[in-house]
Amino acid sequence: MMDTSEYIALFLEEAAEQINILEQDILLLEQSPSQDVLNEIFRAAHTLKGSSRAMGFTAMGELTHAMEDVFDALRKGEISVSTSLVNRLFDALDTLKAMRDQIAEGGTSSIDCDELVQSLRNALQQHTADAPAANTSSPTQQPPQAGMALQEYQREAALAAIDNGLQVYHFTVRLAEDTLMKSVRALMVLQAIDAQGGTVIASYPDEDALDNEQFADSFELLVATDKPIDHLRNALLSISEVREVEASPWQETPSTHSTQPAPRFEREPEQPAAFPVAERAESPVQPAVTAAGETEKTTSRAPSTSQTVRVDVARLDTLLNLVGELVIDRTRIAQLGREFEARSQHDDLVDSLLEAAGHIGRITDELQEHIMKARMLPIEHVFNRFPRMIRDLAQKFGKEVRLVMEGQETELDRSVIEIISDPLIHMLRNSVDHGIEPPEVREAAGKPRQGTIRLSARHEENYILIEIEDDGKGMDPAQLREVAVRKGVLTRDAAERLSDKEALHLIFAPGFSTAKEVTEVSGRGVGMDIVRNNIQRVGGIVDLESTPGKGTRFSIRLPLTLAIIRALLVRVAGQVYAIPLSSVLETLKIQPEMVQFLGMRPAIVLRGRTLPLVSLKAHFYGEDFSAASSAGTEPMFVVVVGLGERQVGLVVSHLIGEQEIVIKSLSRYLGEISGVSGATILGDGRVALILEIADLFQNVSARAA
Amino acid sequence: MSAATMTATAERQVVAFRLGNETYAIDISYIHEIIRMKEITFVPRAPHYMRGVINLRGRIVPVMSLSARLGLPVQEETTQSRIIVVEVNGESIGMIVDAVSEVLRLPEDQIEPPTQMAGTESADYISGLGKIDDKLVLLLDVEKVVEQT
Repeated sequence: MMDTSEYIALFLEEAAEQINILEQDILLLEQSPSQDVLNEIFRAAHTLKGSSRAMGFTAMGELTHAMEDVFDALRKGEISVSTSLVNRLFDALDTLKAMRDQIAEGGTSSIDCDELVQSLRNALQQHTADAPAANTSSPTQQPPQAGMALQEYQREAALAAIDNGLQVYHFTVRLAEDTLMKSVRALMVLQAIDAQGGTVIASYPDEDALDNEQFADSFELLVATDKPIDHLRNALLSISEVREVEASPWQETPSTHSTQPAPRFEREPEQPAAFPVAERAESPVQPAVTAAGETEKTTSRAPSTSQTVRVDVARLDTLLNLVGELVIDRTRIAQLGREFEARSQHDDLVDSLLEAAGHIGRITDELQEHIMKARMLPIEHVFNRFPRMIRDLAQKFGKEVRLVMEGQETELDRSVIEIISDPLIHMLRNSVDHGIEPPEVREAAGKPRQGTIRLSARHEENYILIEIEDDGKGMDPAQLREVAVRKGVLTRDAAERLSDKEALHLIFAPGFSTAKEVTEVSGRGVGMDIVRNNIQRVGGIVDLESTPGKGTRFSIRLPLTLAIIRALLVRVAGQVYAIPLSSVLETLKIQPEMVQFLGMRPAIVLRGRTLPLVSLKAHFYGEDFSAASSAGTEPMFVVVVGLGERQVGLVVSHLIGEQEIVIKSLSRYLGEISGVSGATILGDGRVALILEIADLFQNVSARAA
Repeated sequence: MSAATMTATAERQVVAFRLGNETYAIDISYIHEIIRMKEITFVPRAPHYMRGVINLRGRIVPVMSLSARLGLPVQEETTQSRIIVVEVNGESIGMIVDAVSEVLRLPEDQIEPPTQMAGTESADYISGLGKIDDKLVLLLDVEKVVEQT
């Protein structure tokens, strides 16, 4: 006998996924109910119900069952979506989450959900009683066809599909007679259709009956698809224990039943009953197989499970560390090769060494690239939780907010994903709380009642760009200066000297918050300074633009990965420093006389723009730059680095070249070193410090202030 | 002292080393390794007593001048100079000393509280005074030494 404990992990992961789908879809449902959403949502609830029951979590099964009934009524148009209904569904969903988490921790769940189940049932009854019968959202799917009689809405769905250029087929699927887990096979058939891009318009018996194995060894489906009939047929036949698939184009027959309430377990007399319904397999094997069957469910949403392996994150981390070491050694070997070459006139051995070093170099590159790829996750993992969060926040603050998300498929390293989550939550909260105005205020200002927050992610060269944009009230630089002075962040003089852009950046100053009063949500002792620190900690950059009355846009630039980056190596005061290439715009060679001093600040004019200079020697070693540059005649090297819109030229002694470096953190015993984010080991075994560009910019602003 | 009392009394194993004319000691349980001087990469803007970082077989380890930390005159580097790498709270840190002398066993009852040191700059970092054959050994409180002030 199989032990269900083996499947618990599988079940939990599955459940988390289904709950996630439910959450997304309930939100969608509230915004724009569509057949697709209703189908998916019903399927998710259905799957969850099946697997939780199979695993013996009856309360969970009950609750999902009640939810499923609601979804079913929704898609049949018996009830319509309302805020209170959605709230109830979310309550149920939260309870499901809690149950899942309890099971994850202790193997069981003690949460009692009778009340919730009752509440959902009541909702169903009330709505059925007084909801307008005609719901615009036209449902799809469900019971029988051809031989099977269609509900009116199913017939309409089929006709609509044909109108949309799809084919509608009638399938009769026969399972092998001795099939044990028939419900699982039926589910796999439905999934296979899903995976092939088909839509099940109706099934006979209905899906509940299929799930409960209330059928003998065959069932019928009405499927809309744009694929050739054989394509689907073959897909179904490839499922084990599917013995036969009869398929024929569906033709409209005069509709028989047309009235609304479909008896849920309607059975047709002509159902071939080779085996009596009593032949339900309820051996203890079932849970296991059902759980396994449910895994297949993911197939329709994600790449084929059979082709992928789940790997412990720690193993990937270890692999990456090892590659990091390899990268360092590779550089070292290459360097040794060059040194030998320089030493000996011509030597075949040295040639061979160089050749081998070159090969190792290429292999390491590839190895690194592939391991990096293996660590990439779509940012969806972070984004997914936001729609629900925004909805709840909006409700709480009495605001109307629409969240638009783009680029969820953008991939980045999991270490970056982990760190970016909290800052994003904080910024989104800020947008709802401080950015978006209450509906009446918006109306008075001639804006739509509903505010829009746009969250997008995309790749840009070597980094990821995440933007959070709202069309709220924006930020007023004058007001920010005012607040900063009042809170003692800056003196009035210093505040007045800030440009508007710099004033906006005041929100990142420690101890600064634009909130008039501390709210429960945003004012939890975490300020934007922490947000910026978190982002900078992973080598990211955060910038913002804001127009009073129009809105605010935060942009976050993140490195694709944290561990290995390309850097420009430079020499300053005899020591090597690494500048992350993602920040480098260009390098210049200038003559000392080009340096001008604006007050005490050195700058050059570059293509008509003033480029402030930061001498690293001055910054790190306290050298007097003005004296040094006016006395010097040697050309100077400048690395132009960018942070958002701003640019600064870093004056260095020499440019060494580009190299891949492995980032290692500096010991906390060293404390925070302004201008340095970490260290790396060079090919010759020496240590080079990695520059923290954002810090150096702050240095420029601080001196400006 | 008889052998019998030696075994009866708890003792501490310490590594003794020289800073200028004085002998200090660190509890051996903190010590990760003792290495010869190697190239140190200067870290600007770090605390004044920090000399920089070294590459210890692929790890970046900060190194301090223990003399500077304790407010003692910093000696020139010699062939005797060593870096004692200690591990505190899971992180390694190196301390430059003028010479490592020996591993000693200090009976607990030969260790006195550092009260008589009061007033000197290094007193804060001394956890006790040990005596071996009339020679004074200053026991360092490693955790205090490495933590930033």
